[in-house]
Amino acid sequence: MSYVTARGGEEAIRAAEALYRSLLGRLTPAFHEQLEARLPYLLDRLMGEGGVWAPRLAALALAQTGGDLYEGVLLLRAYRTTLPRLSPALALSREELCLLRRISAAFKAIPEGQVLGPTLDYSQRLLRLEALYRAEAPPPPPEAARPAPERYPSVSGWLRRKGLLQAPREAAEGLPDLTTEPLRFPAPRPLALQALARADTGGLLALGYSGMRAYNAHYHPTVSELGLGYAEVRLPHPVRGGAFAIGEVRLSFAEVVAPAQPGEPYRLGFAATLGWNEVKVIAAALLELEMQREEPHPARSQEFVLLHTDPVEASGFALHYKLPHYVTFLSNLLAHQGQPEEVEDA
Amino acid sequence: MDDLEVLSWLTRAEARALRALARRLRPQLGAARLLRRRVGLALLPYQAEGTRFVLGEALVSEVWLRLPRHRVEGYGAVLGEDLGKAQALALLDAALAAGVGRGEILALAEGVRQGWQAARARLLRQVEATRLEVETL
Repeated sequence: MSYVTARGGEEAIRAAEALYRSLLGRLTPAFHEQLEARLPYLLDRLMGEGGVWAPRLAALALAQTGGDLYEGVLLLRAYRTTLPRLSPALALSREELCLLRRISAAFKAIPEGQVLGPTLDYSQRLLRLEALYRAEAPPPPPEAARPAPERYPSVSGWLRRKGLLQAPREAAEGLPDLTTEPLRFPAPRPLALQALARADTGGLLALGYSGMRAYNAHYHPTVSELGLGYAEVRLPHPVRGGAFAIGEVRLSFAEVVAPAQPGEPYRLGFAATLGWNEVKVIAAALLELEMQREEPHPARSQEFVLLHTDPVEASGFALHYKLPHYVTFLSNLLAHQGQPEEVEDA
Repeated sequence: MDDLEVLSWLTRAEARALRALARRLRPQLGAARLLRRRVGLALLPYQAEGTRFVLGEALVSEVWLRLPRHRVEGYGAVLGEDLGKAQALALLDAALAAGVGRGEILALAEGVRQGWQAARARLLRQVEATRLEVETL
């Protein structure tokens, strides 16, 4: 590729930004609060792909970009690079999540049962047009006599005890971090799971879907457990020792299982992300499973999946094509047409 | 309720209530020397079946201070960008360490605990109402 430094255009750039901002209107703290309260799933997607739990900043990023998710993720990721790292939180784990939604497509009678939680599954998807003309308050949800459990046993642990699932993969040492080291292949599982956690929802869905469809004859993974809930963030206390809770984050995870070979225990695919985003974790867990397979389909290539689903890198690369490529284009044109005298004034 | 548990409940309190209590106790605490006051990121590791990986980070405000009169230090941290709340928490943590206003601090934490647990229990009753009981035909 060839690039050329371009000069000028400052006034046009300033005017373009002013026009962009004026079309978005005023930004107010009250508007950000409304966004945070009323669009949690959108903010969750932004925070998951940004890799940062910061609802108020996500609302600001969303407002400032008029809802352009890729610009919003870029703002969040750029801002996080300006912040210092504090002490790491204690590790979150499946056993400590407070789940509001926990379902399984494998067995209807999993230990502690299934709760649908807040979802539109099995509901009619109809626009409520009357809300265009008058305020509509949702009816209060029914309450059972007793509360649901906060914590549930792991379905994969249960399957493993029954001999239905392969042994857990070997634990990797240390805690590698994609934000401080490059992604090399074959990537160790911790880096792959981190890349999936902050990957683009649409990208994962597209590749996951490609694995679900035509390339998978006689291969149908099953969601053994899907969970949405809250995880308590605990920080070490630098004076007293021990740890204390500083708040909760929303989190989703999915586990999918599929047969390895006839007669052998099933294999497990896993994914988790910040925020409630179940289509993302289902697609990501399916891809984690696919990437364990050897057949030459792109969705089974770790490098193909992880390198092409980062929202900032992918959108940035797509968008760079609109920037001046005058030298590239001219050289292409010359090579293609071989008539330099005709393009001299281009 | 030990002091770390008290802190855990206080982080869920309204910032206004924390600041009000910290202001009331301030005369007994004397001057505070700030050791650290910043907004940053806490890494969020996730443990999944023997594999520990970085799920992401959380925006955190933290304040660490010292009370020379009592020769104690206090630390406060909360999710999000709220240094005022983190500082009030650090003052209350230092007050606990100095044995100042313990009754009032415990009362605030206990009130937060009861309110939060009631709200969570209500939410979990609503969740329980969505329990899926299905039969295979």
